[in-house]
Formats: sequence, C-alpha cells, structure tokens
Amino acid sequence: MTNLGKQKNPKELSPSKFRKNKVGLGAVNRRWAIISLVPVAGLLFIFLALPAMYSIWLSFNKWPGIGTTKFVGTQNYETLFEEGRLAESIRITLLYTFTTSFLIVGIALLLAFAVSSNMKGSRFFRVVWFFPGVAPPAAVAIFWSLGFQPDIGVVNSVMGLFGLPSDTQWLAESATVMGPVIFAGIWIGVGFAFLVLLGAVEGIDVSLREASMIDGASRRQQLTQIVIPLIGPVLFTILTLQLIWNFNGFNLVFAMTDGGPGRSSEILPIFTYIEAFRFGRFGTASAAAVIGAIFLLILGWLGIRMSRSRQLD
Amino acid sequence: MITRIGRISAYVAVIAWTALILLPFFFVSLFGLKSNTAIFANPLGIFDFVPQWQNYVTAWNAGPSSDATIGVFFTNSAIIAITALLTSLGVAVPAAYFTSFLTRQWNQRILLAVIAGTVVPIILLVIPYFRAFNELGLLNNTVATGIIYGSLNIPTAFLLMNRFFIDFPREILEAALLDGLGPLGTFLKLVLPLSKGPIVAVSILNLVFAWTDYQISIVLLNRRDSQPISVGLLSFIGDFSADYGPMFAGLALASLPVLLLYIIFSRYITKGIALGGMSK
Repeated sequence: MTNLGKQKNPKELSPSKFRKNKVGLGAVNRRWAIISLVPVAGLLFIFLALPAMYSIWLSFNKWPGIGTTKFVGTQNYETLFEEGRLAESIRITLLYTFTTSFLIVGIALLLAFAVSSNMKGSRFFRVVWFFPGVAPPAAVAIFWSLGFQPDIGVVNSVMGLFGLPSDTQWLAESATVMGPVIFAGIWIGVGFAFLVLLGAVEGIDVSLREASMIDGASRRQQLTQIVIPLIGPVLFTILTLQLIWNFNGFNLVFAMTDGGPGRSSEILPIFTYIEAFRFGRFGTASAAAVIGAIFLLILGWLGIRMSRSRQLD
Repeated sequence: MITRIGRISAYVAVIAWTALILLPFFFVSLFGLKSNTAIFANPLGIFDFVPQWQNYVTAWNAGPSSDATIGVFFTNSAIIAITALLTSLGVAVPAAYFTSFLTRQWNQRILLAVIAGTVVPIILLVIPYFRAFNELGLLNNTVATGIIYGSLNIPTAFLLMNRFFIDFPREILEAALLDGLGPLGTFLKLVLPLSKGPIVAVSILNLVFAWTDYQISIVLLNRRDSQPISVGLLSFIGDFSADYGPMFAGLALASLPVLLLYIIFSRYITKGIALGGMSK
C-alpha cells in the first residue's frame, strides 16, 4: 500500500516501478478473488458435487420415491445387468452418440472448409446455420417427427418425388426409428461445430493455402494435407464435446420418440428418467446414471488425451 | 478447371445445407398461418390460402387447461430464464474477473476445477434435485428451478469471461488504480461497461439453455400451471391434435424469443464461439 502512494507521482513511473505495480494489481485484487470465488464454490458444491455424490450413494439403496431408503449393496447394479435391458440401452446410446457426433463434425468440417475460401455471404451462413442450435429441441422434435410421418410428412413426400417408398412409418418401427432421431440430432448440432471449426480454419495462415494452390494442390489435398493436420487439436476437442453432449441427448430424443417404439430408442438418460419417474425405481435409475457418468468420464478423458497428443505433433 | 468444379460443388453444398436449415422454419411459419383444411388440402401451397393470423391468438390462449395455457408457460419460462441469468452472471462474472489477477498457475487450477463441472451429466443430478426439492417443499417453484439452471451455467460463463478478462489491457486497470478507484470500483465502473460483448454472448447462451432445456424442469415442475414452454411443448401434439394451424403457430411462438435474441446479438455469439476454435 505504501508502494501505491509513491506511484501517484508520475515522475516515479519507471519501467521497474511498473513491474512492481503489476504485482500491486494482483495484490489488491487477491482478496476480492477469494471473496468472489466463495459463491461459485458454494453453488457448484450444492448443485453439482453434492447431488452427484448423493446419486452414487443412492445407487446402493432402494428408494421408491417416498419414505426412507434401504441399503441393498450392489443389488441395483446386478439387476441392471441381469435383465440385459441396460446393455440394450447402452448399445442404442453408443449408436446414437457416435453416429451423430462423427457426422456432425464431418459435415461441419466440410462446410467450414467450403465457406473459408473467401466465399461470398459467409457472414450470412455463420448466423443462419446456428438457428437450429438456438431453437427449443422439443419444437425441433415435433417438426421432424411430423416430417417423417407416412405420406403427409415432408420427408416422405420428397422421397415420393424420387420414386422411393413414401409410406415408411419411420418412427413407428424399431428398425427405422433411430434414422430420424440421428438426422434431427445432426440438424441441430452442425451449427455450433461449424462455428468453432470455421474459427480454427480461418486461423490458418492464408499464405500456406495459397502456396499449396500454386504448387497445384487440389482442394481435396488442401483439406487432407493442410487444413486437417493443422486444426487437429480443435477437431478432437469439438468431437469430444459433441460426444459428451449427444450422450446426454435427452431433450431431442425424449420429445421425438419417448424412448419408443417399445424401448428401441431408449438412450441412457431416457432409461434413467423412465426407471425413476415412471416405475419409481430410483435406486436402479441412479445406478444406471452412475454407469452413464463413468462412460462420459472415459470419453472426456480420452478426448483430452487425444487432443493433447495431437497438439504435441 | 479443377478448382472451378471444386468451387461450384462447394456452392451447391452450401446452398443445399442452407435450404435444409431454413425450410423447417419456413414451413412452421407457413403452416402456422393456415387453417386445418388448407394444411391438408395442399400443405406446400404458398399463395392459395387466406392467412389465419388468429391462429397465434388461439395458440397463446390454448393449452391443457385454462390455468395452463401457452401464455402461462411463457411467463414461467421467463421467470426461470431471468432467474438463471441473474444467478450465473452475478456469480460467475466477478469471480472470473478477480481470478484473472491470480498467478497463471492458480488461475488455471481454478478454471479446471470449475469446468470439471460440465462433464457431470444432468441425469446424475435430477434424482437428488427431485428428492431435495420434494423435502424442502420447493417442487413447482419456478424461481428455485431457475437458480439450478443458473448454477449449471456457471462453468461456461466463468470459462468464457475468464478468457476475456485475462487479455483485458492491464494499463487501463493500473491507471484506474492510480486514480484511486478501488478494486471493486474499477470492476463496476470501468471493466463491466467495457465487457458488453462477451457478457451478451454468455447471457444469450445461458438464456437459450434455460429457455429450451426441460430435462430438469419436467421433474421439478410437475404441476401444469408451473411448467415452462419447453415442457409444455411435449404435449403439444396431444393438446392440439385436431388443429394443426394453431399448433404450428405455437411452435413458432415457443421458438421466437430465443431466435430473436440470437438474431439481434448474433455478431457477439458467432464471434464468441469461433474464438473457442482459434485460441486453442
């Protein structure tokens, strides 16, 4: 503090004093940093850490939604694996998560590459392509589930125009239900990935791509030999984010199919919701949620490792 | 020649994708203005119908019951979204600012601890929320639910704001300090007005999350008159089964607030998201 008083005189502001002053800036704000972090820590503890720990504890108990809990050890987990229902739900979840995420990142990369080479109107595309990411997923779900209706739906009408069967009951048959769901998931998700990847592609030194063009590189060669290697870390980061978000894709899928027909589109978050709030089996639901969280942790950990190792290259 | 073909195919792909994105919004607006008969007679007709503007009024006042109309859902959504926004901004922005003055190492540690929260899946949280709210008598309380949505948004808000504040020109802050503006005064009077862009971007992302998500509200707000529009949408097809015009009008209404906010402030948002790709 005495330090500060001295520096009020402008004549004393030599470079070395400035450095001291920087320390001063940190010192006067340090107390405020601690004070302002208290509510952050408090809210994150109450609404994230505490409930997560409670779920883990509840997964070893029986609780029907009211009254007291009863400790049952690992019984909830055993039930889930014995019935084989969880395995089926995990299979559907992984199918949905990986197909949607990879296609989102692939399409977003191609679009970012197309728009980045000085295309006119790129500001328009930037704004418009993120519309689906802003609209309520339940509204998107309603639109596309009507669109995939036999005969009257937009998708089937278009298929009819090309002489393809137009009476497919897409959402009513377990063999086809994941098609529309994955399609809608991609429709929602590409915008965000596109914006991030466009930021990365535009960060590449323009002269690099120009030089390759003079050397006679085709667009495909530009994409595979310059753009993809250079934005590798961002590509992995956005893929990891997409995998995590689509693994949690409750909002879209539940509104579109309710997990049906039967249980054929019951991704893990829907499985958990139905198990708890329709059947009142909160213990097994928590166990399923814990298993889902473990999957996510592995995905996130792998993603961070991959993007780090890419960065070192 | 080859680059020309490449350029043309790039344009075709870009236009096709734009059509795929825009057509649903166009169809929803179109059907929202049609009568049921017009929809079934010629769904894709653009000029052969009389616009039914009253569909929007019908939709606003329609719903499963007289105390749970789309208008009521809207009010609930607004309460949730505004509470969430105040919570996350009020808590995350000052913390992100003051943390940026700690040593690089500590700033990084705190950042990691905060964003670790984003990996926790919502399914792991919903059941404990339900039990706690049930026992505290907070079920069907929109403000309490808004605080949850705000808290879950703290990590993203903290991350984006902290990134911005780290690059904030230190000379300006030093000058303010020399002028005798205390740390809090500097933050409130100098830094906040200069941080409009990122604060707007963070706010819109937060509002979109609170307005559109229903994974938490479907559990904590189970009485129909306390539900937000995101939950109300789930029973739309059932509630409007006989009348598609007002249903599409309702879809348009439900999406309009967030879409409008996004369009108005799109510059900040697209820039903010693209930055995420550049700085890594």
